[in-house]
Amino acid sequence: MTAPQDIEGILAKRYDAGFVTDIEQDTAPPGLDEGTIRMISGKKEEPSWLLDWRLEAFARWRRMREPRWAKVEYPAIDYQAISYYSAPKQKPKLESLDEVDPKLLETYAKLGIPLHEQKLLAGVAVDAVFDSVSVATTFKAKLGEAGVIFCSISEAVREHPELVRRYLGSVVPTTDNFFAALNSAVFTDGSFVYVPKGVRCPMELSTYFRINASNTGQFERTLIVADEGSYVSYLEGCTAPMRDENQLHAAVVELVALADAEIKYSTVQNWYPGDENGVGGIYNFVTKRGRCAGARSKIAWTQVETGSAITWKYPSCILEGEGSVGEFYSVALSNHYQQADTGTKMIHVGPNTRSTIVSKGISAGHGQQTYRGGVTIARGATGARNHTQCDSLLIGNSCGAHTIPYVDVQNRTAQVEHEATTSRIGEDQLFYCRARGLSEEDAVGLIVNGFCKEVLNELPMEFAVEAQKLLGISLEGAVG
Amino acid sequence: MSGLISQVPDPAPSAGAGWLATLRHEAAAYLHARGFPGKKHEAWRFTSVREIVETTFAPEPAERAAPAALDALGDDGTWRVAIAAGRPWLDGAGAAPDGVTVESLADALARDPAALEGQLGAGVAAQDFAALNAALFTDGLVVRIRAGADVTTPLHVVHVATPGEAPRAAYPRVLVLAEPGSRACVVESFVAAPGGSARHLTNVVTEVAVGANAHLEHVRVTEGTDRTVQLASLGVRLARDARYASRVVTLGGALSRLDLFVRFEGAGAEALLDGVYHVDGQDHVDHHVRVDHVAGHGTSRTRYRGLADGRGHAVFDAIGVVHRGAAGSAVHQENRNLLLSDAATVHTKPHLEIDEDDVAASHGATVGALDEAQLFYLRARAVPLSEARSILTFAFARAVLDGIGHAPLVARTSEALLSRLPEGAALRGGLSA
Repeated sequence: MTAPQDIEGILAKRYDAGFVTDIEQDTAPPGLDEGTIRMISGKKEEPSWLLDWRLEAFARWRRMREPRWAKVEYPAIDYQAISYYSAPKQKPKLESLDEVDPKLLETYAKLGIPLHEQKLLAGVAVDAVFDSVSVATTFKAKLGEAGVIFCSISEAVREHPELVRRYLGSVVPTTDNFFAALNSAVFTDGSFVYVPKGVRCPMELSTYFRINASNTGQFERTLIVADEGSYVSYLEGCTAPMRDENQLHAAVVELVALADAEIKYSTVQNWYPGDENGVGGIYNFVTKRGRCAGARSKIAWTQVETGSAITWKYPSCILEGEGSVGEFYSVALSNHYQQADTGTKMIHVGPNTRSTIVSKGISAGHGQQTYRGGVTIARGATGARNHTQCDSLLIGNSCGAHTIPYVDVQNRTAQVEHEATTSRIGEDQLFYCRARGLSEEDAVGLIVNGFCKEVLNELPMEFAVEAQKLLGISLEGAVG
Repeated sequence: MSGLISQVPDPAPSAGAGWLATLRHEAAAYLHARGFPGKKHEAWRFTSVREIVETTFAPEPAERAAPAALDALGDDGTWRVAIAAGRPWLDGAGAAPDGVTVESLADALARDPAALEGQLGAGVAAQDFAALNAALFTDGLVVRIRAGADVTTPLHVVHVATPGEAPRAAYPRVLVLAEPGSRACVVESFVAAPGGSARHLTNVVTEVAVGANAHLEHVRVTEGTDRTVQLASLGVRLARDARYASRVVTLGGALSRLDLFVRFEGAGAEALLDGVYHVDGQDHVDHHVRVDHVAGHGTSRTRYRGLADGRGHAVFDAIGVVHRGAAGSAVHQENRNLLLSDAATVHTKPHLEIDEDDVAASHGATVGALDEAQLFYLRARAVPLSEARSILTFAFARAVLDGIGHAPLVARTSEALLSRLPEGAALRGGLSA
């Protein structure tokens, strides 16, 4: 067994991305009313249709009640105490990366994002969102050659209004749920991707989200449209400073895949989880949904969730096109006092649609982990097929793991299978590793990585490495 | 005030009330304050009770059950007592087998109410429709299997619903106490007498306490009709090293809902919870199974199989909870469904809540159609399609029926299922033996 002082040392280990960037911020005063929305819309020089859309969402939000069905507990959120807009102060227009505030670039460098052009070799086009605004998008020219549009959503509203207007809210309507309605009203920035017909996006696209300012919420909105026969792989990473108050993150991600298109969306979520006593951390209330609108289209969600004090997130697929495919691969880890209620929904509408769900949950410390998934086979989804596998691993006897799958089938030709297991790390597995000279910590790391392998294999390589490291760090202190 | 709530007396506490009056008072107060569950309640999402709640049911007149309903059960080698209109008809039952006392609940409460304190109401909390029963039951049965008794004859409680020309309801309550070291089989059958055109509601609560080291098999067969509504709760408490095997067979019904609660109160207990259900026409069948492992080293295995035909709805929901400290628990849930028509619907949700790391827990659910290859095999051997379908459908359910420990009951439940399948009559001779 690990000596007690080792464990204490490890427990004291800090969240690596928890620094604060001292940068001049342009932050709106806390509070939310129609004026706030008009202010955000005004700052972004938005057209009137978008302002109306936001105001309508706000009106609906005010009539909605915060959902309480998830298996998470948190004190009531005061939506009037949050600032809905915060941006680094800088020159209004940027010509090249050289003009980005060096302090900002330093932040991203600390986070290991290949933002700078000298890191061209990394070959990932990055859109970085700092608090509320998108600060830089790299590789624009190269993507432009292929006809791929990758920019911040505010820019897309200005430059490609017809696309944005056509698809914004088409997958997650403003009235979808409480947090989606809030996001629709106050979203500040996010990424927009459009891949034209038949184009295979020449590189992986990536967005890095960072919450810096205190008392702010981040409400980004991502919209990805893959036109017929196109392909895009999109990565999303998130961090936030360590603060002892809770910060709200309520994002919306919408994906649209037309006929024969494929979207691969990967997330490594490492928002600040709060300290070992459960103080602070991000409330992550996110709505992510993809629509396989065309025949043979495919959407794959892969997520590694190690951060946030509370995660409430169900990346879903609406499988409308004939023969379309939805996939969901997830690793969620909750240590200390983290709570995660996460899963997916696969809604089979079209014939011969297929979906796969692989979910791995790990609970340690006082962590609470819930897998909540839904598989719906509509009357017309002839020949639909789903396979779900969700496994939970418990480390220590103060944590919890819960599995809540909903299966609703209305078509007899459908085949739906769900399996799940819950267990702790096998004593014999641990003993085997320990007998071969591995420390307990390393043995647990090895076993956990093996447990998650099916999911980690789905991640693009550089993300898989990062995810593996993150799992290791997040688990430290969980053994003993 | 109309509808079901109008039947519930005002919750005015009576002076100097005993435990039973308190139980009834709390149940009535709960219903007046909370009302009946609607579709917004997680446990009632797929089962609407609106129509039932809005109906004013008259109590079923206290008449002996029509002999036809009992005769239809045939001779299955069990010791039988009928419950009709919410009360038992013990006079025709003859003496109970050795080691068993069977008494009317009303008599038992009149004779020695203190003896049932802590037993009645302990297995099923007075919520939703169990609260309705708690507020309204007037009679029922107390079945006591004495310590160490080994009872070979199954004890058969037959609930007979007699629908009338206006909506009727009965609120029976059954208490089964299997004392330490005893061994027995209890059968509950729910049948409907022919005739009548209006709805009949059976709102029944059965509470079972299995004592230390006792073995109890509990078979529960519902043969529903398009007039019968059953809102049932079954609560089971398991003491140390108790063994409980439940076999639930639910064959249709306008609405047949069972809430089954099993609580592991003593360490090392075991519960096998098997079930099979069949829906056809407009049937709606709903099973909710909740298993609470409070004490450690217990094993629960929930295994339900469903057949959905016609425009039927089948709902299955299982919750397995391992409480903190219940180390060494094993929880397994399995639900397999066959969808036999284009208009039938299956909702299934096997679900686990684990707050202890020393556990082995798993669940699985499947929904699918009959296997084409198996159908082809039978058809290639000159079995007509509809017969081949019934053979495979029956075989799927048979896995659960065969678990029943008393052969004549296996035969009877098989018959009852076969009679609901197309071409089932033709298969009887060959398959049910």
